[in-house]
Amino acid sequence: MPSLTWYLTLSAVLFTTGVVGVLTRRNALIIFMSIELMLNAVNLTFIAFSAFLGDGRGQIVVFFVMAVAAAEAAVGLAIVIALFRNRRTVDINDVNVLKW
Amino acid sequence: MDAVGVLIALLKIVVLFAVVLLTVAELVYFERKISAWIQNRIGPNRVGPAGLLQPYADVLKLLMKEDVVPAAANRFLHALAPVVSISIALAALAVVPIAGSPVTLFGRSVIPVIADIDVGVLYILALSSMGVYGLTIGGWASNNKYSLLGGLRSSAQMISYELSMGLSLIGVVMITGSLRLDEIVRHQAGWMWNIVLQPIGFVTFLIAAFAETNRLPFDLPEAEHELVGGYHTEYSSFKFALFYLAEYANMITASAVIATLYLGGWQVPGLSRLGLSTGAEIAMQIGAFLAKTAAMLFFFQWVRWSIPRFRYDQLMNLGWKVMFPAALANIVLTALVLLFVE
Amino acid sequence: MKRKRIAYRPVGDDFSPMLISTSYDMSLFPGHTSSILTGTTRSIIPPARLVTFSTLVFLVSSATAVVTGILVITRSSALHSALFLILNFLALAVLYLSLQAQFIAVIQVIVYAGAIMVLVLFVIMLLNLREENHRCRSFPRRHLAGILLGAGILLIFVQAIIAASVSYPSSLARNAAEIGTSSAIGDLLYRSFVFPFEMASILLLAAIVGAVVLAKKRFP
Repeated sequence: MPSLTWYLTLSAVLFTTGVVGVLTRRNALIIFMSIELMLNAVNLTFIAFSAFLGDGRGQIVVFFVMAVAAAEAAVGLAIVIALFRNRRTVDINDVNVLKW
Repeated sequence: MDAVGVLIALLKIVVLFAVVLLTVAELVYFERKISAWIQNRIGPNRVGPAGLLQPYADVLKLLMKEDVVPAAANRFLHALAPVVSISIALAALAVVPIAGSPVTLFGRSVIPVIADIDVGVLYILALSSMGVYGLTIGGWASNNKYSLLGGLRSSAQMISYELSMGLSLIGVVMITGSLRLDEIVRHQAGWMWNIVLQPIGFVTFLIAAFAETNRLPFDLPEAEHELVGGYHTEYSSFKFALFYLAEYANMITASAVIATLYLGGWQVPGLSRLGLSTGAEIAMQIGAFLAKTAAMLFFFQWVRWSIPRFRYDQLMNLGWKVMFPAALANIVLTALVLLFVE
Repeated sequence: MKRKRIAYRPVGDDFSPMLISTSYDMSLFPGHTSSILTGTTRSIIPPARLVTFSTLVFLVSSATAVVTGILVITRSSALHSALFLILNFLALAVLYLSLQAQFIAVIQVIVYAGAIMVLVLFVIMLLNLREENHRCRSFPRRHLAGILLGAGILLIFVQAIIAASVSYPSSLARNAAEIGTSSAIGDLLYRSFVFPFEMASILLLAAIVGAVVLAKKRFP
């Protein structure tokens, strides 16, 4: 059976993938998706610890992370739409004047 | 899992697939017959006795057609979309129980459901929320403006109606105190079906189910008069047949789920008083479940040929300004009744 | 890296899904069959096969998760990234199931794969974003910097995981299946975490208001 180390390593790899995505990509939507990837990697850590230590509170935290992710999706995508409407782009390099 | 267990589970899946696929074929026939009765026509009557073999002829014709893929389309996604649609439509049926007690088969007792999971209601919601991908991806991959509009409409429509669907289910879950479909059916013993206890929830769930299956009056994603064929404008041959199959399989799934959640599932009122043997009781329960599902299927078709299509703004107004508050009110009402009755 | 990994103990029932009914007999239950005649439940599968099965599930779904994760950040088309991200979320849901967290697994599908990603796809299609067009340099310097930084972070993580791995429990907790059910989660949520729960609902309300204000075309 997979040990806790396996899950934690997988989570670390996924989180790093998300970090690299945020650092290298310039498309606001893909950056948004990379952040979701990082949140999910953290969720995996919480669930793994919760299951291995027999403590349900880890899963509650994941539940709250999901609520925050949903809120983030609503606001983040609304920002992307507003951005595209005003600047016709979703490239964050073109959005550097802090106003429009 | 031991070999016999795997075999029985596989057997159940095969039987389910065969039943659903054959039902789809006959459903197409009945759709055409019912529309003919409603419009004072005769309907298909040439192929086979009373036209019963018409759907098979249609399927053969479809499969003989050339498979056309638009030059600018994304070939992989174009092929993936119908597969996603049909698999999600079929997968939801796995948690629907069709009888009350286990059947003895090959010397072991077999539960009358493929997977009796603890979070059955959530599983159905999860799959219905995934159902939108087939249409959306298909609409995008075709690289056609009408397809894209159809895909966009379907995602907007499904997001809007999924909400009311989930909220109407909460009433049922509150009454039963469980997310397991088997317990929800057991709770509806006698005539205490959820349609009696949850009339508002039933109506909102029914309307949301129409929207989720893209049936008329809510078939805006494919609205022929505005979008040519919507998301399946660019589909032909086998892929089109799969989309077609998925639409009807979705209808069967929705009917089975409505029968389970609101019409008492396999419950037959007063069955235990008849004093039948266990085998006869199970047969009666399966029959009752199939009859309720068939009644819902007829209702789906009846509505399709009686009510004209909604306009897009009407659809959104209905979803957000009528259905959503009604489903919320239903939750509050259920909570109040539960609080004061118990 | 592998030297301190704890050898797994072949625990008999490590992948028994609580998902399957307990009200019926367990004819679908991996590793168990209940005999109608004796009414006893016995394990008919040697533990070794179960171990293989759960390891296989882990390997397949983690490989899917890693590969799709990398594809998400390397595809030039946002739509392809989104589709791979959906696959990634589904692979994670399978991993949650392998950790007996069935409620969270289903919620993961509903919230992430079903709601958030549908919204993302909707936005991508609404803006009709095609491929990123400007490719001034084949491999920009910021990619190198990002990958180096990522490698550093990964190194730190792995170091921390290995350093702490001596104190990890070697198998799933005995009550792992119970704490993952909807009733256990609901119990915790509405008894110990009522205040954070209410805060989460206020957060969601604020998000709705914010989204409406941001997406509104013209302000009066």
